[in-house]
Amino acid sequence: MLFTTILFLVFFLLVYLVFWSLPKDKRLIWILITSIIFYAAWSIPFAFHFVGMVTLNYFFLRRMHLARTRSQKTIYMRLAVISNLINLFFFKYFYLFLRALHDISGLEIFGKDYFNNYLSQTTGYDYILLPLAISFYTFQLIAYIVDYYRGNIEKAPDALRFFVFILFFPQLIAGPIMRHSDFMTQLLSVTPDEKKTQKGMYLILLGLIKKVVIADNAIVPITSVFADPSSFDTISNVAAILGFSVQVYCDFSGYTDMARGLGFLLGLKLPRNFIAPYLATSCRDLWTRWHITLSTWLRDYIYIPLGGSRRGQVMTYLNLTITFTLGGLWHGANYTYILWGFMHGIALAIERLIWSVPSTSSLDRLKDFLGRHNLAAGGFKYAGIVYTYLIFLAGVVFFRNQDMDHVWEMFGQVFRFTNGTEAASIHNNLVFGLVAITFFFNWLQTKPDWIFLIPDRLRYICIAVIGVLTMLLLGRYSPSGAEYIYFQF
Amino acid sequence: MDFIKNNFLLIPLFFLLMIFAVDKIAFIPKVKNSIMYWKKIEPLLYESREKLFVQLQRDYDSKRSQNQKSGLILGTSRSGEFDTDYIKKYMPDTYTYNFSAPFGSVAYYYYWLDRILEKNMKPAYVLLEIDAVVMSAQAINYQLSYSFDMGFVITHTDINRPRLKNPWKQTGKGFSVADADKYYLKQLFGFYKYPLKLGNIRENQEKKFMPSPDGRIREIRLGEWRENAMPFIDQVNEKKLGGIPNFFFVKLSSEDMKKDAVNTASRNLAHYRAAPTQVVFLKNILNRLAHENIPVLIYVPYVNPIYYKFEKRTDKVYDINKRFRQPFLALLKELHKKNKMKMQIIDLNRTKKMECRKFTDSYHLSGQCFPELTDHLFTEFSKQLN
Repeated sequence: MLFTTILFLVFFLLVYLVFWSLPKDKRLIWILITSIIFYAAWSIPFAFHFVGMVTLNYFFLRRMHLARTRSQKTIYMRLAVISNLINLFFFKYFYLFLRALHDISGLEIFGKDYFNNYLSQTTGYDYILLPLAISFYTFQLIAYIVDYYRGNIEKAPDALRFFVFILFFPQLIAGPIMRHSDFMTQLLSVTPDEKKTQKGMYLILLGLIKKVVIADNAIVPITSVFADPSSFDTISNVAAILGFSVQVYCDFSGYTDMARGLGFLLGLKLPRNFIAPYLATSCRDLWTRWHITLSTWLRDYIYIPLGGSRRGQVMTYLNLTITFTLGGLWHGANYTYILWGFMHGIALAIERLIWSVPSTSSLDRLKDFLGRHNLAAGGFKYAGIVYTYLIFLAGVVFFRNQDMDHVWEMFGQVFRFTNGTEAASIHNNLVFGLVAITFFFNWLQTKPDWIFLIPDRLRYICIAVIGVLTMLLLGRYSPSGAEYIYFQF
Repeated sequence: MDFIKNNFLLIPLFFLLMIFAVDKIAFIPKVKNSIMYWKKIEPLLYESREKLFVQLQRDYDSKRSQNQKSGLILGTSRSGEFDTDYIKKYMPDTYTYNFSAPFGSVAYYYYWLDRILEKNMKPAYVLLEIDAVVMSAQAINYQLSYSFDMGFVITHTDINRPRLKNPWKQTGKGFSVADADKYYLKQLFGFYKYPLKLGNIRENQEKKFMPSPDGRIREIRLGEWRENAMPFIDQVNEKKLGGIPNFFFVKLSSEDMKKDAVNTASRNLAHYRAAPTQVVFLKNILNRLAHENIPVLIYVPYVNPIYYKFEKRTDKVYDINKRFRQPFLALLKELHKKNKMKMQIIDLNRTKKMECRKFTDSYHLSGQCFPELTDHLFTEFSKQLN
């Protein structure tokens, strides 16, 4: 169920009405039931699979809790993590694995079509379907298991709260990837809060505008360019790359806004996942603002266990590169995603290298000069924003294209200043306009609570005006309704 | 109960009701007419099909008593220019009703066939326009706004449609839940169905000299011109049974035609995938025709050769042959064999028989070429029927 459908509207109305009508101790059960229904609306067999995975993880948690020795606890922790990774590997990465074997060996037996035929003949299934939200819930499960193992979660696992934590439908499909500290204590007692209700309404409206009005309209002009970059001229290729930066931000952050808004309406606060990422002044800064819950997960469960920055400079750069390459792989089972992650890892390593240059008197004089002249510091800040955005855009070419041929074609079209084989062009002004709006939304994220600056009595009126405006904008600008990009993860 | 102690919890519900209520303004006829852009006549054409249906019902029995049969054309705007009187040359005892509509799709064809057969008005033959575009996901969007009825959508929605890699294997009743959802959104939310554009409202109020239904040129408000177009469409319905034969032709420069071809192809053919909904309706319509023993002529519309080059490509981006043509023909062959139906398929893009090659854009053949198109389609088909 997409959030932007009638079906979801009816579903959530029912959830909301019953939730606040029930006594406090029954609310979590209702959330659990409706979350399972939400997932089952996508697929009933996979709803069983999902609940089964959560049950399996809970079983391992209980074994860890009852373990008498550290080594027993370690065994169960490893079993839990391995089970989750096997589950993820099978559904998400098996075809990539086959493809790699096929590319290396050239043997047809490793071809996707060969495997699918075999699968169809033996099981009746055409192909291995990617379960909805598998990447998100796998990471959330692993985070909980590892945190419990590390002793960061003191209390014994409570089944109901654990299931609700993983299955909670607003954040299920596209995050944020939650940690126990984000959410579990809130589940002890969910109480009404007027400010949360107001914030919830505002975030849902904002999310709708970002997702339906901006992101879905950005898709329209750029799809044809990404489908066939060589047909289009240089400006169209550049516009398409910019357009995708609009789409991915507004789509993902819009969805997150709606997820957080729905959570707030149910009295629950979900963590922020975006804080003005396009205003980042370095790649390092970017990853503290873009998909924050993923980058902190990568830091805590891959980068730090690998050694982080504790094993010397070279290992630090290697750990960064490995972590972000794996982060790229998380996004999709394709070489392009891996290269996207690798590119970001390298950029972070290079930045780290530059920042680690020993201080010199010239550098000190420069820093002094910047400190005394705000304009210069401001200039450096804007230069940093431009630099970071350009790195992000370069990454977009890998992220969005379906294969490496298209990636090189697109780079070729951008740097060759060509008209393209078919001299085709797209509506560039629309894209440039959407980029400006996107930067406005980024700036707005630096003022997350601006709505509370409005006096109480006027606040609902303000939200009502935004609501009517949203309704008119949705009607005016909503195209036929595109799927969320991050659904595919 | 927290709603009582904390009545602010009711505010989101009131808020939703308020938005819903304000939205209903768009359904008020006067508001709707001032919002809807004066050039947007597609809703009128869809509306005219309802009137055509009433006309068919009215005529059917009287014509049958005179040993006259009815034929049916189901297509998009590309089939709107067939002339029922010209078709009589090949089928003298048949009146052909043309239910084609802009941006039609197979789902739309099934809808009308279903309604016509439910009223026991069995056509003597059906002409179906089918190509990759008609079988795409976006082809259904216009009908979700301006056609179908709630009963049809409810009874033809597959609740738990399996996700198949190969859309050509899909079976079911028709619509996906997403299609149905979009339909209900359009029916329930006025400003979604009739988007508010200030520029359109302004332009609708402008006055210009325009042709009126009586053939004279008058100065009228542009919004009124659209409202007045309906009587003209009704007249055409009455005389030409839904078709709009004409000799309209605007010559585009070869440069503009090439640009149109590239943009259209990259939008509709790149990385093509047939829509499961359309595949399901295609199977259902053919099975229904077979069950009723109604002969069917499937024609692939003749498109601009510059555009057709994209359909002939076989690379990673464009491979319509593999993604549409082959599975489509295999499906037709399978159904033909299973049902032993009277079916003919004609693709004039491949036979290169058409001499008239005037196109108003990549997809639309000029009305001037329709007599020749009719000749090519009905010469063999009419022999099969007789």
